[in-house]
Amino acid sequence: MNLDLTHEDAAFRDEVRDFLTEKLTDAMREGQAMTAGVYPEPEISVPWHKALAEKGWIAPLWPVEHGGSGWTGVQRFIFETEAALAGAPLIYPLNVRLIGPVIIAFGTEEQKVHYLPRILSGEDYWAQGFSEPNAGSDLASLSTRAVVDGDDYVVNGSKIWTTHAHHANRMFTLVRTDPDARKQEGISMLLIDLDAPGVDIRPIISIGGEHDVNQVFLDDVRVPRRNLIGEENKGWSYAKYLLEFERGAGLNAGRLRSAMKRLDRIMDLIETRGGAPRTDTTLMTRFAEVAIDIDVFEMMELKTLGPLAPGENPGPVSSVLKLRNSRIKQAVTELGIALLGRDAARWPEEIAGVEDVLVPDYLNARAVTIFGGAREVQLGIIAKTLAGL
Amino acid sequence: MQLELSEEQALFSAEVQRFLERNYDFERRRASLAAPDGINPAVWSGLAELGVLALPYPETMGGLGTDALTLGLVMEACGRHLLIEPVLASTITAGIALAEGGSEEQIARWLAPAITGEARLALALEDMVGTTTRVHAGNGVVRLNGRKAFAPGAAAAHVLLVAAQDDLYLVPADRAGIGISPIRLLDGSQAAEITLDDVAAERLPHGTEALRTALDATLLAACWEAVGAMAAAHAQTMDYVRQRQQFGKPIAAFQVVQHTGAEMAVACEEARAACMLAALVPGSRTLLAARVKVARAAEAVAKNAVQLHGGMGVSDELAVASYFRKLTAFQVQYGSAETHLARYAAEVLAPRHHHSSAVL
Repeated sequence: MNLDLTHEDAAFRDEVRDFLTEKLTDAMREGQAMTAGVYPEPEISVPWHKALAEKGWIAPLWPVEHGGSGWTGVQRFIFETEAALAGAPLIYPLNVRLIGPVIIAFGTEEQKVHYLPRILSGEDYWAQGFSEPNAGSDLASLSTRAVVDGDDYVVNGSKIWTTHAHHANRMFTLVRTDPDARKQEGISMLLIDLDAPGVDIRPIISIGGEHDVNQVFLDDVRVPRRNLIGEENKGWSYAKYLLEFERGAGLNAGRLRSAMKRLDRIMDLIETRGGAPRTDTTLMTRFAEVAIDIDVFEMMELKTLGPLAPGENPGPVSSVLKLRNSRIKQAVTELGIALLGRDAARWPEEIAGVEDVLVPDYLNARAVTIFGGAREVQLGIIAKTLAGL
Repeated sequence: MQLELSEEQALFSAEVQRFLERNYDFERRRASLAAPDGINPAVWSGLAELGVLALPYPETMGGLGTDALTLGLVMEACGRHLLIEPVLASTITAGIALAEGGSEEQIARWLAPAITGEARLALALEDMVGTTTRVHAGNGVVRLNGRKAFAPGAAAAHVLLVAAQDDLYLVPADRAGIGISPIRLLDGSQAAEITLDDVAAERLPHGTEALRTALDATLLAACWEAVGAMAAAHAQTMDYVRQRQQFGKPIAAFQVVQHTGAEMAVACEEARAACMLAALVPGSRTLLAARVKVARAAEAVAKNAVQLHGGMGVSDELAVASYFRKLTAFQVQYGSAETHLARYAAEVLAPRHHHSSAVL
């Protein structure tokens, strides 16, 4: 084991840096820096998505024949680290990272031909129809029904916490197709067009004031049977496959680091106004503890995900990464409000300057130990797999 | 980058692990604990035969010249078995100080027998509070006077490296004027207090720089030992909660126990990653990070290991009590986590090195 860059990898890093210098605009960087929600708005992330797609760099986890970048795990690490540190917008993960691999692994030929190019180009924007008002951590108890009627399924029910559904044109959706089977065995995965009649998307305003998530009502929505992923009633296994990509396939240390950089930028601002946050040694000690967490987390991600071939599943250790990433993310936002001190008690109004991001970011970050499998769910998985309980 | 262990890295530590499984289980370890100098001679010569005592030195000195990760994995195995023989104090701390700071003649005379297991070395660093070790030169002889407070491995050492006035001095332990009073440490190993009364000594030509290198290597090796001890404590605790029945079922069936076990597993993973980073990307940033992270993780794992054992956790009958003491000793030696955290704030955070990857 060694972490020395080969000549090839060093050349790749330089190529990435050149690409970032050339294609990453100030507007994209500023858009990411001013983002207080979990993901940047599409007008910030989609132009960056398109620049990467043009270069052939948008789908590191896909096989090359479907448009994957053909990177090794180490190259993916280099790219994600450099992009995050340069301030590039976070690519919305639901399209390329989540539904893409599922369509590649379980989709029909027709689905691959239809959807994959649209995902790569940035033309399609997907929402995830998993959680329901009565099915959160107990996802398999979901009750949205799909009943076959001729060539269609007729879908009725409601999905909740659907991130960016108001921006999306499609939603991969878990539905119950066999109400009599054991609960995991009666579930199917459908690809639903959100402009279909009967779809109603209503905003849910988050704790930090953002419109990130929605409730999606499905009222007699007709979905062609050809939009079924894989086999009917096998949806739970596809969902589990997808969730492992959601939990642990991202390389997030660079993102956490760039959030720390943002805090330094804000401390610089405070200093120009006569404040002296860096002389507060208690606060700086807290910063150091989080920076150390990030250094260590970077190594955990690299050694877990670096050896994987594209499309290879990280397995249950993804829960460790998800847990650590979410806790460190929260810790960074907690530093943000500690930095503001009493000013963090002001009601967050319009985001005018970068420091206005800190309070909503802190509030919204409470969600990261809840979505994608709550902390308690991850601990349960870790207990079963890594602790052997 | 090569993200899997190389054959050498994997094989060497596996061999040490096998040796310790055969010769150093919790029962056999009692022989070392019972020995007045904390040494089981058969274990020490076995470690020498395996090459453990030669690991950190260049081949030109008769060492194996292994990389930092291999060394770390061996120390992890030692920690797993709660080895009290002074691999850390003699082979790492004092051995590296001698190899880095000694003259050719000093190295030839003392490192060779240390590698074969015939001699043990120890570093006497800290002065007793309120005292300062002094160096007096006269008639072509250098003499030391002072009192050393806490020298790990010194009770069983044949040669001492004594820090005095910013230099290191070499003194055979049987030389006239030396008094050595053993102290038993919390992890069962031996240290000593030392008095130096006009003791003839010879200076190491590059002692000052060598001391820094040796102490850094010691800290990282101690972190690896702690990682091994944590992994073993975790595994034994998980075994215990699967067996222990209360309320008509194994206590592992309770979610609060499961989550505690999971948190311990995460802490073990993090601590190990921190040590790997420090071994593969050497430097003060990664070493400081490892010290802080492993100390935090060691505290959490040790406390939970005892807690989940219930009453058995606070009896001395099971190994868990020994792991707890070992991990406590790790936390309080080598400079506290808080000291290292403050250094990280000053040396990494203030100049904004944390804005860059620790790896790339």
